[in-house]
Amino acid sequence: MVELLSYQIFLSIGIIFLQVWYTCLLNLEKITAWWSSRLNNIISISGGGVISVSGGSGSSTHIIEIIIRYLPVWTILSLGIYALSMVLVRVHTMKDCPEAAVELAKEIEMAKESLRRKGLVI
Amino acid sequence: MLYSIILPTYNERDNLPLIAQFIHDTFTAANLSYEIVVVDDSSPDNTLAVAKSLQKLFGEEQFRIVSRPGKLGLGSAYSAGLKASSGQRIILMDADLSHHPRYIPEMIAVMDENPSYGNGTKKRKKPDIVSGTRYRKGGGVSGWDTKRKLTSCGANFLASFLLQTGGASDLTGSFRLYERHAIEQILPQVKCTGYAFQMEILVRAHKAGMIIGEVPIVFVDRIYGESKLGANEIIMYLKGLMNLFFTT
Repeated sequence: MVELLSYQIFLSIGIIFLQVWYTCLLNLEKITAWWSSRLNNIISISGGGVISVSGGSGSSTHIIEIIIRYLPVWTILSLGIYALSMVLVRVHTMKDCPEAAVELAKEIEMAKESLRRKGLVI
Repeated sequence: MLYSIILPTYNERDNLPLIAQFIHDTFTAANLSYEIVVVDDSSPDNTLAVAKSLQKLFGEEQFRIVSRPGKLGLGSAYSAGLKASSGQRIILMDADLSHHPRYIPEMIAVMDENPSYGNGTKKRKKPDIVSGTRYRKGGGVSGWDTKRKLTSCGANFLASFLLQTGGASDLTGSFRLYERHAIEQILPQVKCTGYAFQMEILVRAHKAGMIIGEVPIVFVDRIYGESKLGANEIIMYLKGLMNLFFTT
């Protein structure tokens, strides 16, 4: 296994991501066409009763176009949401133990007594 | 097997006798041999005098003192304590009673791979380091408000996201059991200070191929109202994090 430093791992992921995004942007029309034809196939198979949300082949901007054009924004947004939810879950599940403080206070008293008996003078 | 417990102290004259008594109780109950190494950075409240009277009480063999001329930092305190210790396993913990010694036998059991204790390691290999974690099931904190919890979880998440830490859940915790060879190998490499210090130990240990086990602990914060976490601490932490990001 190649031993990479942390920043190198992030750098390589970033470069691969940019490469993929760049390729998608270059072939945007092809992807949009393929996606709308796929949607039309699904609509016709399901009997035509489904309302096309993105406006079908007649609209000017497809949802897939918006997704691809702003892919870095969506990625960063999802990363942020992931981070926030992980932290909030952790904070929520972190157990509060007030009984530990009470127990500690008791043990402190017992320890003080022990030390006094052994002859410790502070 | 002798266990060395290194306690860096600064103004702990009230807590030092108590932690010594707790350690004594825990180890005699578990039938294990121990030694305490107190590293005092010339505490103005005369912790050294308290340490000396404890030394008379517990014996010079079991209670060693390293006195240093001033506040020289946690890393060098650990190094100094390590040099003065003679145990095969080292325990590093806080002397302010936020860490309770009763978790030490559990850590030892995890290190010895006793099957009756559920540990956090994914592979069944013997851990070189057992870390006390506040975040896993069975662990917890006492005396933290939500803001403090948020900073701690946020810092830990950021570090585990950016760095290669091998799945350790509590990177900033300072209650750990080390095999002697593990801490002797890692400690000289550690350069960060503050909260990032504990994190760097785990990251470098993971890089060196060491196995890190975990035991849930309860952290009792008794310093009410005093803010240990200023903006300066946070900046130091982020600096340390960035340093590790680019060098490990």
